[in-house]
Amino acid sequence: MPLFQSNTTKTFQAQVRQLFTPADLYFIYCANLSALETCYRQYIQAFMANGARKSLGLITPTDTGVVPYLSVRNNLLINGRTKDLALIPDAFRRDLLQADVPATALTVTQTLYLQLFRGVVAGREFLLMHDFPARMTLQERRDFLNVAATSVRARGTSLILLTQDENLITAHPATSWTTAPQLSDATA
Amino acid sequence: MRFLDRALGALRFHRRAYLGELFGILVFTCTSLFLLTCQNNITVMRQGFLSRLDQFDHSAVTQAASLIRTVKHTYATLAQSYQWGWWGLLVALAGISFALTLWAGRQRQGETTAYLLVGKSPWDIAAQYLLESLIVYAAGFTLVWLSVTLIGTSLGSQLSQFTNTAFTRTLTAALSGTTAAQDLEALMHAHLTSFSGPGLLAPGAGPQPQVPLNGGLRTLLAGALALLGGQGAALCLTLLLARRRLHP
Repeated sequence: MPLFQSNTTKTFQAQVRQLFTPADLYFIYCANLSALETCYRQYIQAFMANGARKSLGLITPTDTGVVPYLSVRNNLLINGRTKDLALIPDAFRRDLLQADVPATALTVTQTLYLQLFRGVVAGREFLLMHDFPARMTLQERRDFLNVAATSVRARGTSLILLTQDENLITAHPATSWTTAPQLSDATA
Repeated sequence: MRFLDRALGALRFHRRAYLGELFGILVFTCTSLFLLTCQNNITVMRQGFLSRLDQFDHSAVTQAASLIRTVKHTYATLAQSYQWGWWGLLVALAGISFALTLWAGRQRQGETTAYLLVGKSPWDIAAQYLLESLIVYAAGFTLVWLSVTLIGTSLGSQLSQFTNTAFTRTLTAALSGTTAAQDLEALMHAHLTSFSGPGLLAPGAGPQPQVPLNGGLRTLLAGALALLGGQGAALCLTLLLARRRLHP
């Protein structure tokens, strides 16, 4: 059984890799919030069903996965890996990591950065991001995407952003989908 | 992020809840030690009574059979009451742990979801939560045990006296006055050798041991098992539901 499961996972990961390679930012358009939620859930379930949960990191403004009693640094290293922290921009490292700020003090935007770097530092191959929160300004979104692009390309991670923003799709035609591609079940 | 650091961080964060648990553990440990010590005292007293009976000739013992039967029955009843009380205490600990962990599961829902989202296995999360409880349990037990060892020298004799009084009260209620007096008189006329110490029926709980209370190890192990059992069952349920809610 373990051998079979391992092959299933490998096949599934190869299929996903075909869709989201090379490591970069990928955008999937969802017409409304309901469609976005459904797609987000289906993608997570596909990874879980194929035993590939460990290769997926999540970035979401709601279920942030931030443990309140741990510092930002400890939340970042929660998966027990101390891989290259140099991937994290100086500003973030100086303000939050060195000061060892408690995670409860983070803003929503900072929480998104924390989730991004946690996935990158843990070496997750794919990061699935639920659209930006409405309160984030255009400039903040742009800054986040710039930082994310640098980090994921350096680490070899693909960030899949589910979004209702058509401008993002038109701005990145080579790495965008107007309809979410199906992640087929390798066990089927 | 190391497992132990997470557990210690959670202990600090949920300190009010864990102070409540510490109080509960202090009550459990004290009650358990009390019941086990009383049970031990009863056993020692019964042993003393039986060895004193050996100092009477057979005919006297046969004559006082009704009295002896009642005394033995009283010893057995008391020992059983303490034993059942102790088992009841363990069941209560497991049940309360189960209920409180279910309640705490709701309070810690966000935290549990966070761990599941970063890919921690339910086993890993349950182990952390159980470790937190075990640390509090060990602290509570140590506190009681140190107090007993350091300042509880008079406690043992007080408990001996308590057991003696409880036995006398139960025995008095069980005996019919006239028959008992006659039987006792018959026995006392027939004793072969004199015995030291007061009382034939309740010879006392024996010399004081180095540690004034009994059942330390039993309390420690059984309490830990009851606590982990109750909390473990509740955590299985909580984590299963949390996982289903997250990824139906």
